Amino acid sequence: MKRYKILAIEDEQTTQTLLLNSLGTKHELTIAGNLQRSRNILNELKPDLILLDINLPDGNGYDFFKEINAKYSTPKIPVVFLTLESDLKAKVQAFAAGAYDYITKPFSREELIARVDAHCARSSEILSAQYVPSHLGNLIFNQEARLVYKKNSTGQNEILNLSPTEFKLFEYFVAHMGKTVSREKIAKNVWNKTHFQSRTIDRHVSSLRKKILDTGVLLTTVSHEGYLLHTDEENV
Amino acid sequence: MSDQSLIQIDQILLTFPIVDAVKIETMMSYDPTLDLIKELIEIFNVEMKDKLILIKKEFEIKNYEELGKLSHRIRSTSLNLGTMRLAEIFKRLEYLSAESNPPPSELRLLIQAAEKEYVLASEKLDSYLGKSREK
Repeated sequence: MKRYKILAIEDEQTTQTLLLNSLGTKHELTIAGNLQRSRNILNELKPDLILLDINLPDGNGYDFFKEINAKYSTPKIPVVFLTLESDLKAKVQAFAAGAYDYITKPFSREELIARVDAHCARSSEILSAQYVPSHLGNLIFNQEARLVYKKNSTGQNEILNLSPTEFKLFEYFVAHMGKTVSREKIAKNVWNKTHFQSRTIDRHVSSLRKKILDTGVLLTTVSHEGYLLHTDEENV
Repeated sequence: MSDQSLIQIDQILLTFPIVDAVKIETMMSYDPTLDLIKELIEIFNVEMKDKLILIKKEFEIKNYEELGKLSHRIRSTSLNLGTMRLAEIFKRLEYLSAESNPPPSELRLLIQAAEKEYVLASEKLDSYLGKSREK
């Protein structure tokens, strides 16, 4: 089973020990005893799941939940509340705020593991479903690294030299692979402008088209409609 | 503090076990070397002694908000070790502290009960480790 990155925000020591004992061997578990430490950790690590206590020494878990939801809106980090409060009102409040789950302390080890595994797997499935294809013809599109690789004549991958705007444009086309996108939509989503010189778009498309020549990926002009990114095998 | 109040809290506590045996045995089954349970008991003892001192201090200066926070935290420790009577006392302390004018006599009574129950719980937890060594 995959090892997921889990951040547990919990200040009470016996709970920290039980979390380490339950999840520490299966997953990469990081424990933060307060919210400030959690913020520092989140600057360096993007966890697959957060276990969040509500009463913390330097603040309230609900407020922190809103803070991270605003900061990491796409994709959201699944948050499971881990708390002593077992009354219905507290549970409803957590779910209404958008929590994935609510685990009451003291927790059963088996139940905690099962819930964490299930949430991580589900969140991972959602993320991979949203993720754009990484192999396109002879190109490899690495969105996280912001790089595109092209297979050369010897079969080795070399970095395709794209300007930042060309990369953004290509990224937009990849996200809409097989669909015709209008110049208006490109202007809005790539340049963040509603009124735009279409010649600027055409110039960038032309340059991008030259760079992806002979890669099995085609950038076709659809008359009066816009542009279409597709692979050689796809019917246009 | 009236004798009646003392009798009442004692009677309520009697409905809870000092230590939930199932909870302890389950935790022991997670780690046959008993290192986990030993570590938890050690933390429990340190935390209880430390927080009981702080709770008494906050009670004396009437800082009931802090008293409530400490009680909440130590309730979690009590529940993790299955010390159910202590958990019940700290729950009552936490809820009572959150009231607008918590009666000091009731708070004092609960703090005294916590001190008494801590001694019993600690002995009981040690006895589990002893029993396990005998096996």
